[in-house]
Amino acid sequence: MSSSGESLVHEATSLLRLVVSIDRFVSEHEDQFAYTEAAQAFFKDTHKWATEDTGRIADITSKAAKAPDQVESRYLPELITLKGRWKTLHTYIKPAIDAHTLTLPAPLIKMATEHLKQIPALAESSIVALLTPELMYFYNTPKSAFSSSVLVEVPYSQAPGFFTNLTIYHEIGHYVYERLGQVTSAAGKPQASTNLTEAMERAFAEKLRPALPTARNRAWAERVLAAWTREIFCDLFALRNLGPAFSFALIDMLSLIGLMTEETEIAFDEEHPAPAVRFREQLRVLKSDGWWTTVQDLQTEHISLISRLAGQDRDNYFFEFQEKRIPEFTTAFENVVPLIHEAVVAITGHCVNLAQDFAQNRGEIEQCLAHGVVPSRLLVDDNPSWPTPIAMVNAAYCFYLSRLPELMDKLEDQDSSKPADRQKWIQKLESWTMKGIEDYYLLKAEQKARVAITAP
Amino acid sequence: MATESESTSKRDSGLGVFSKREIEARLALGVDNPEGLVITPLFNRKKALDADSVDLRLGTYFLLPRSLPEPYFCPDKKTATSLHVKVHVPLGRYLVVPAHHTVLGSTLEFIKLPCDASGEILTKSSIARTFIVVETAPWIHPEYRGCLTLEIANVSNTPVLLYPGRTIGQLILLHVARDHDPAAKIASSYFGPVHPEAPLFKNPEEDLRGIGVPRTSVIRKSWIDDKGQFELDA
Repeated sequence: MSSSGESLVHEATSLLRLVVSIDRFVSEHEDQFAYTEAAQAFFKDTHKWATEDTGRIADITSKAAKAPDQVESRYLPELITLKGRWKTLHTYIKPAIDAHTLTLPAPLIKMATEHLKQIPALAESSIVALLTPELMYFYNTPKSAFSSSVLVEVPYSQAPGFFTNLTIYHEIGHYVYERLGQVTSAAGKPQASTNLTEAMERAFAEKLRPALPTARNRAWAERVLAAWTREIFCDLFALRNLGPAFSFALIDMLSLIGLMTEETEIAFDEEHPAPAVRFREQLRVLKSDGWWTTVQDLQTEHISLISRLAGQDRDNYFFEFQEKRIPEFTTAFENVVPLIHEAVVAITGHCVNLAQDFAQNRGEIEQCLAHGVVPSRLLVDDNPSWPTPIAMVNAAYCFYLSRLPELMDKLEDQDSSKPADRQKWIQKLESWTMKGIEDYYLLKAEQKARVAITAP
Repeated sequence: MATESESTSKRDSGLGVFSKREIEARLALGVDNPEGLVITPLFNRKKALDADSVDLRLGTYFLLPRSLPEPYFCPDKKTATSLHVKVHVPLGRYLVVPAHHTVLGSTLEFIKLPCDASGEILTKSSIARTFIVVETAPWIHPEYRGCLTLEIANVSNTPVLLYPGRTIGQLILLHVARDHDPAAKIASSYFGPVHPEAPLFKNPEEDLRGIGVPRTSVIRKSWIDDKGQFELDA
């Protein structure tokens, strides 16, 4: 055998070992725990790809043996392409295996999936959660092989909790933004999305391009403007779906990782607009969607922080690059922002009554929580009703921020000024909220089944 | 204001097991009413409520006995949580309980009992006839809230499949001659669980000191080195 032929066999064998090893790893673990439907589908696909690629590897080596002159030009590159795909899968499989239903807030993933499916062009999408060692949430750009799955990385330390994990909606926003950008049919792509792209191009051409001396600078600047646009889109997408609970969760998460300081709140970086701008735009939605009137009197620092950040003078915002401030960036960006709102509103029609529903049921839900009761069944005007998950999530967050001591005061040996005691009851509150969401979907499924049985 | 004798007479007249009508009346009271009863989610209410009981379903989380690294289990602070391994069995799947094994499960329903009622959980007769026994500690105190932890024993000679979401027990409510004390604090240890909970223990010496036992024998893992010296495990 020629040395290139031997090299190909060596490459093929090492790739086969990788494929077999990943496939076996999934088989060994997937039955030990329960997983979300999307994760199960991901593992099933992995087995399918392993079978297919095992066949391909055998096919490549047998063909290469018959045509040794094509080893370098054809068969080795084919193997390298396959290897690239399995290297990518290798990165995702272990974090996906770690993210089983005992380590994840499964009801939150279920709720987010339901919301995602409401967007017409994304009805087939599903969310695969991955546990990451980073103390940060990430969205992974989907590769073609798993393009209908949103791969969202959740910090392993936060995974069993609920409140901070609400920020995964921002990561899901990245997927939505990216997928809408890829939609080419007029029916699937909202006009507002096209308008947004055009607004970005216009703002860049009119406000920013004149300030940039070189073509290289221009390409970079375009990327920065696009990144800021995407970030605000993701925030507003999350906010429209979740209500103020998203803003509260974002504050908690940014505080946890040390990004909510006075020095950083008005500073843009290459990836993110300044927190002051992010919360200014969130407040705008909270007001226009009718949430703010219900939560503005909440006795919590979160409300005053949102108000203070939103009220920052926009002349103070700055973007610094290589120790030089470039005000044209923020000016150009301000021209794009209104179009981001339009793009988000166009795809979140299902969110229109959420604030009203919350305002109606908040009192009853909080009453349940104050008595240590899962709020999945309320008595409204003496009639039993089920609150929606979003009403429960927001009422629970409001309760957490303002009334937790009230609950703890009812209990023996609990002191709300002690973090050790307090964290225990936050955890309970999260578990009641998640149970409430689970119950909602169970009751909805039962109702659907009953209708199907009684239908003629 | 009612006199003490009137109040006692009112309570006495209601002693006994709650009827379906009374259960329904209590379910219709708000969560802030101390005499209110909460059971959620309550599927197919007409079928779930019997003449004097409420059917309860099996939840989706379980605690299974774990093989311990020690040759014994001591109910103390440190080991109480090491006895079990938690598993989640989503609706539509089953858990196999081997013959002569016991697992901890919980009800799918979250319950809040009234201030003047105790509860008892009983195995549903159809389940009992499959040699599955639910609960050896079936009593529920007034004002308890949470999903009920169930000890589920398979006393048969064959493995049995448990399907979360199916009915497994019945809740009976009994009147207690007791008034709600708004100032009284509620014990926090088993407050509001939504999954089966491992038992919470103090160390044995702490419990026994309280009744005047000055010395308590304990087992501590230790090492012996090549010189015959003992060293306690950290």
